[in-house]
Amino acid sequence: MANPTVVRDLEGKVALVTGATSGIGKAAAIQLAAQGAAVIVHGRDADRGAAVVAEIENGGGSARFVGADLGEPAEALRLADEVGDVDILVNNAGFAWFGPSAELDAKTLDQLFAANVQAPYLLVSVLAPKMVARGDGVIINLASRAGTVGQPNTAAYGATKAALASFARSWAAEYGPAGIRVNAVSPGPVYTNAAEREVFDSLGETTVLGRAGQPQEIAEVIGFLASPRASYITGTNVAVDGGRAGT
Amino acid sequence: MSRLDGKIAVITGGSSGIGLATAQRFVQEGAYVFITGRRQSELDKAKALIGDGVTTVAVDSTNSADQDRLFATVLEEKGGLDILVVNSGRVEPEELGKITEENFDLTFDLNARATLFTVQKALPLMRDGGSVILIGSVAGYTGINGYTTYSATKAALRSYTRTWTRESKDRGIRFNTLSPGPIDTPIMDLQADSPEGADAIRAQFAAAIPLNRMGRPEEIAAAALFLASDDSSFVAGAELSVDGGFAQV
Repeated sequence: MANPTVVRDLEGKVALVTGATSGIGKAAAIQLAAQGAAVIVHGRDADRGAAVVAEIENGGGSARFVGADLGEPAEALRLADEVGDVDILVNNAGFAWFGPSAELDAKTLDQLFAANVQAPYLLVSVLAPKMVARGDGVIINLASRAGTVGQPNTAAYGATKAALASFARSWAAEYGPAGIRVNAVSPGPVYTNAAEREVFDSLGETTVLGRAGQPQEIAEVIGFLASPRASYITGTNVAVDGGRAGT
Repeated sequence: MSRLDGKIAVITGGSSGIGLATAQRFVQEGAYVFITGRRQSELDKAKALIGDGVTTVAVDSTNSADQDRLFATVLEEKGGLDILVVNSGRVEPEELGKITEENFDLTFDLNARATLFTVQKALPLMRDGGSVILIGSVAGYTGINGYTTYSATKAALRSYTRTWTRESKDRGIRFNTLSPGPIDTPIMDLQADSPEGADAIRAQFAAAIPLNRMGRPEEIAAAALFLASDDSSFVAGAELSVDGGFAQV
């Protein structure tokens, strides 16, 4: 459910949100659609994708689903080709593995980096040059406070998220002269999984605001960064974490 | 649209540049705004530009009695406060070796000391869930020739928002720093001898900025609106840099 004060400041724009069938990605897809963008909902599960598309269409928005397994480089490149021109790219898809470093096997480590780091890179390698040719575009990478703060059990996941924040800085410098803006967003604890509500409740207590965030609260920051309201913001990493980690 | 319907805001240094642009945007979004400045004549000009929805209060932010009068006026007219933007500030570049005690004191007095006491005096009026925005600068975390004193004051503001975020936890008041980079304001033209000279300064800045241009006051105002509104409801104790990438990459 988008904020009732939402402004349609993305009319005529096409947005690709990866990992948009649940959690923050789903909220972001709905938010960008409410702002007027035609949204390409990416995910792996066609049924869940259809449900998000239906929710957007029922709200008067425009959306379509494109499936791809972004753990496979060929699939990432196929997705980039299939979507054509996009004005707004939200690199949200990814997965987390939390635990002692000694227990992470090489295959899972490779998969983490393939999905969280390589896929966004490949998408940008195809889509950003087309944005440059049009002289307009916005890229938003979902990083995490785990990418800036040291804590147990997050070494590999945190490294993938730090890479996304680094990408945002590098791409801001690389594509900025062509008018392309690139930023990262670093959520703190967010209720992304109903089954783990109690885990997020206790993580939320460690934030300064004393609660975990809702996916919608991250989506609104994404909606802001995607819009002309953020026209002079690029290369940043915006903390949306209830004050748990500054920038 | 009306992201700030029914909200009461105070913006210090609101008669020109970033402060004026922010006041205009907030009023457009449905807020009632009090702007301060030292000169009533400049405040009158600002009011003429903004139109309805604004009260001007002539205030020297470094003067405690002036501040008391400001917040007494807000309390009397509106009964409380939802948004505070502390924007008043001064900069007078001097390199180490040539820094005068007078410039140091004046800059710290307005930028760092007055900001603290403005927030302290506003706090009893702030409604729970309110938003306080301190206008910092990317100079607060970047080395820029001649900016020793100014940059140190802006780093102080960044620090304030961290501490105050924790101290206000029970009231849900969000404190954030909004840090502009190089912004094209009328001051640019005053710094040069000719329009060509001003354009040369702009070009020099632009060359150092990934977006290849200086920012506009309206772009800072749009970011202030974001931090003032519920769009940023989970953003607290943070710093938002609006600098075209100048200090980010």
